Amino acid sequence: MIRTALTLATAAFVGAIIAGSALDRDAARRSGVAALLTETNPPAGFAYAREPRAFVFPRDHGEHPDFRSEWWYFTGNLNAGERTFGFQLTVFRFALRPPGRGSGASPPSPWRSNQVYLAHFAVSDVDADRFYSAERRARPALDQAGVSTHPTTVWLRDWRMQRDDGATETWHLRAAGESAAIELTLRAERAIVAQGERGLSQKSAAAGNASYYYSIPRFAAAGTVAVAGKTHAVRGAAWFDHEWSTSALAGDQIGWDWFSLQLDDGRDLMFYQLRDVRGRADPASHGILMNPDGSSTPLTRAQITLSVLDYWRSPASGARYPAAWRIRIPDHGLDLRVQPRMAAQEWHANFTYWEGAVTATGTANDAPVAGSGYVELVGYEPKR
Amino acid sequence: MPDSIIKALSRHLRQHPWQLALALLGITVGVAVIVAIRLTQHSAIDAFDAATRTTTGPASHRLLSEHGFITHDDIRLLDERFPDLRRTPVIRTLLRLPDHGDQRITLLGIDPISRANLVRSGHQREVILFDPATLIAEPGAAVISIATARELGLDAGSMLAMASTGVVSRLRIIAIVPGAQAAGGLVADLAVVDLATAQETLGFTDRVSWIDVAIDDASTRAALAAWLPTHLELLDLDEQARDVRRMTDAFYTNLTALSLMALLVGMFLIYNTETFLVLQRREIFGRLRALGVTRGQLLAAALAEAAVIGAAGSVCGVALGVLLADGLLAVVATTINDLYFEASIETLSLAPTTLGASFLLGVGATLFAAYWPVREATRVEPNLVMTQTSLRTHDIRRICLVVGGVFATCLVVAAIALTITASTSGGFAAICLVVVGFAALCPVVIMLLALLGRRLLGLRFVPERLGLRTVTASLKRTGTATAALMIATAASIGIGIMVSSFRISVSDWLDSALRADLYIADSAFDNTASTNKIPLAVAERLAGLESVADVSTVLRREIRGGDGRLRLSAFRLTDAARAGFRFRDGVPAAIWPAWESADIALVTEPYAYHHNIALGDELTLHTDAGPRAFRVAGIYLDYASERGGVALSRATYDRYWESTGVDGIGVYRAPSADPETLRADVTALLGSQTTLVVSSPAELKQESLTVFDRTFLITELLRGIAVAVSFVGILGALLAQQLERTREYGVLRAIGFNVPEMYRNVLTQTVLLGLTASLLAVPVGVLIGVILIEVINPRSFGWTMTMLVEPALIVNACAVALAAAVAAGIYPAWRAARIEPADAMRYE
Repeated sequence: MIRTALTLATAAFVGAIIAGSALDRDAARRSGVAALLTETNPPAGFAYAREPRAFVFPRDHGEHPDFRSEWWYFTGNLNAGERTFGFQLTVFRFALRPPGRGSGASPPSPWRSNQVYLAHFAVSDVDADRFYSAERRARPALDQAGVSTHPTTVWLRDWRMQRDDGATETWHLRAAGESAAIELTLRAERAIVAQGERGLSQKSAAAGNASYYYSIPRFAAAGTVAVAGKTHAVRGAAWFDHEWSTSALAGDQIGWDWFSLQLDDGRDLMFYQLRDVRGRADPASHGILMNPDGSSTPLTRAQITLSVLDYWRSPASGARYPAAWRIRIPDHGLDLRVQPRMAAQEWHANFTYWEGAVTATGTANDAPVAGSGYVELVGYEPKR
Repeated sequence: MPDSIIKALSRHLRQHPWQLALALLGITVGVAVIVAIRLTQHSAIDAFDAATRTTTGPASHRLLSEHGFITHDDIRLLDERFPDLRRTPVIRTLLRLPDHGDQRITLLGIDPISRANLVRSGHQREVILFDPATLIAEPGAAVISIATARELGLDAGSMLAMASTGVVSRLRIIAIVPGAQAAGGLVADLAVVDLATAQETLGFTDRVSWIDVAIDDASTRAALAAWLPTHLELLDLDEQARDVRRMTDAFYTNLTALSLMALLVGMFLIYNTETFLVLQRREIFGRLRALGVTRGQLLAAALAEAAVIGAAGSVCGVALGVLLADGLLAVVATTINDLYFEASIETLSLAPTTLGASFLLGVGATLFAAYWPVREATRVEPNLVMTQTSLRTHDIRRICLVVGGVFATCLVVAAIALTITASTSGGFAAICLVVVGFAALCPVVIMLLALLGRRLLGLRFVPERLGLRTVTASLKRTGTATAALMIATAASIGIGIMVSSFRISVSDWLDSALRADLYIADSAFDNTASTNKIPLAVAERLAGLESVADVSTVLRREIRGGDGRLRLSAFRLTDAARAGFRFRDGVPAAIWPAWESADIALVTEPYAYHHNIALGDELTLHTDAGPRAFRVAGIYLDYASERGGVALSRATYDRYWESTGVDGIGVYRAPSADPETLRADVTALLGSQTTLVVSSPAELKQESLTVFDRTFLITELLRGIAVAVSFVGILGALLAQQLERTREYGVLRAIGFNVPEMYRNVLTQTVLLGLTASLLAVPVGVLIGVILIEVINPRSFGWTMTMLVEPALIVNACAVALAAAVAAGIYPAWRAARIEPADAMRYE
């Protein structure tokens, strides 16, 4: 969810994502993440998330071009025998202007579009301690990128997320970078979970500062991972988020920590905390505990105790990231220690962030519990 | 002790401020010329780089199509095969601006999204100075440079109308960004738009001009090259940029040679002034030595003084040079734009290294020039220093021997340099050696002329005879000044010969090549996109006119050859047009009968030179049906492009390529029609549908020669500067020497010389020097001209030209040298004549 902000970085710094220019990159660095989070004046004409929404599938798997930004986000932990891999495949859509303002030219150029697509693909080869990441950008011209229905397909060149038509949530992911590739089939083991208030995920007290957001917290994944020229047959678990919005968070947040954990007692936990300039967690931080039967329980900030046990300093960016946590949710008998599978899962795209596979161990109502998941850490790069 | 030495030395300078001023002037002018030329060169190269960056971005390669455009299908295929290739499509074309007197502007359509991917390791990311989101999202949004905005009178928010194939579109200026001073800056007369806006403005939706690609690794390059469909071609931009740089370098080598010539003259001047300063103070040196000052102390003090003077002069020189460069820049900009690329060279890049280096060069040259006379003055024994030195017979013999040796060695080495090297630097080295060799002759020629003069004058003309003797007696000093004057004059003659020979060759070629009565071309012709062609039907309709006897046509396009891209011209030639070809190699009688039926090609002289092609060689051209070999049947003169090109008959072209209209039409008048009728008929036929421009051969010739003259304006300007520098320098040097003789002249007045006799005496001396310089400058100048024409030009550009020595040019140059010499004599003569004998003798 909070990864909307990543998309909104696109909004605030079109240059950074779209153009990737040195000038704008410096500007982004100067302004910090707070500026990335805050787009004060999106062009008029976009739709806003104001009311809860009854999602209709598969239609809502598709794009919502009336909104400023949107993303489709898959993460997962995979095993090939003894080897472990993490993967992330994300497609962002960003609208430069609201739709419906064509050029009036006849015929219009196929390049004429207000949309820009950005995709991130990463594979963490845990045993080799290698992190492969790749970024692509394109506009939806000449079939370079886009979202189509029947079947639902989200693609950027030959990176694609494709859903089988039908009632079950079966997705096929395919992506290849210079030295890593995945080809996976994901079968949902959980129902779709609407986040926030029936899909309306409020980001701050201000009206309209919200997004539409749903997740599929657990898939059984199977397929192949290729790294360094070698292909491995893999099995594992994956997680899917889809979110769209126009307005962002306002204010003084400098970053966030986002957790998604799949526990072997069958429960899935999503939790995030927003950090302000003084490093305090924002009251808007919250989570959700999802049961195998599809029921779920919202978690407030007060119900969760998060403490950092260790730190890691990135040699590349100089950023100092938390690198181990203890998460306690006494109301639900959870006491977990969460640890990155490997330290170096840092992204060096137009902005720096950490997104990586993690493991969880601990107790659930005093019984041992284990799990795996993904953590995203934003806003840790040193100030310049 | 050193303090008192410096005080003693500087007191003299304070008492003779004009000597100090002359020394400073020599250094200032020498350094200024170097600084000006280097700065101008740097500014032009910076602008060139900025222009290249703007159009290519950080791309390393460019994908081009034989058809002149890349289709969207090509892009899809490329993306499918290379999804991670960092590539960006580009549209570039020339458009008319109907609201600005049909001025033309380059429309550059970019895709800011994929362009941002063009990152190469080791290269800086491109800085974008405008909001790409607006450029993409707002139909008709355009970005222009400050220079373009100023020129067209546009502000941010202004509308700009552009005409393409009869349709006028209006673009809105969303941003005005600084010109060619920063990376990503825009060149002049360029409007940057989004790809979608470009396509909608141009009225097509299925193609782009080319695809720029950033490739870092050889394997991707190889994979791409292996995949390329036959109609696509991968152009190495770095290599192409190197080619263009090489051409501009050739241009600048000429300028640099000129600036070094100026420095050489400057050093002579510095040497001369320094010698003079030292000689003036021989007495002081002598006294100081007699007082016990050591040779080393004296040397150090004198050199310190030279360093201070050198530094002061160099600072002034750098400042003057910057001013001068500012003036030169406009001239160079035009030249560069005519010749090589459209760049706006509007900002002077003040490279600190250039300024620093020039400063050090000035100081270094001063020290170097001062060292020898100072050393000599400090070496002699104290008592000897106090008396004047004059040449004795055995000195003369020794000098003749040394000079002869130097002269012969220089010429031999020059000849060797010319024969063993194939580069332009060999040619420039030869020029330098010739110059130095002849410069060494100066003292000897002065003596010989003086001797001859004395013989001719007999026993009468006492003041003249005395003048001649005086010159020979002070050869050491007059020799260098004369050499400097000679070098400047010779350079002026040599460059003058080269330029006038070049001009007459171009003019002759134009006369010969322009055979038709009228020429028709598309004003929107753009050789990069090759989208605007005149339909063949226009040529056919013209041929059908009653007032038209025949038409010739030419189609120009870039195609792929065996070693890279080349410019191909496909001619349909009338008999008259055929007669216009002048062949360096090849026989017309053998060429024309086979011209249309056989697979033969003609190549231009520069093309043959650059690609090492001889008559009868096979030339591989990539046709629509794959590579084909064409036999080179002739090498013809063509000064239109220094890159050169290949010519085929239109019939041959049509056999291997799909027909695509023509770029130019030559119209030949029917004998019955008069020129006015012809022009009226042609204009009427073309109608108002017209980006087509009708020109007469005279107009075309005028236009070409205007471009030529603009190109060489900088050369002419520098020639002028070199002459001016030496004029001032020589004036100063001779003036100083003459002023030194005040006491001698006093003696002459005392023994009864009247005023006219004084004038005759002094002017004889300076005229002798001027005459020597002129006499030597003629052969040296002609030699420089020969080397420039026969060696430098062919080696730089591959052009040959007929050498033309205009007597007026030589007479003018010599006249300037003589005038300098005479002018230098007038003031001292006037002073000498005014001396009261008693005053002069008081010093005795």
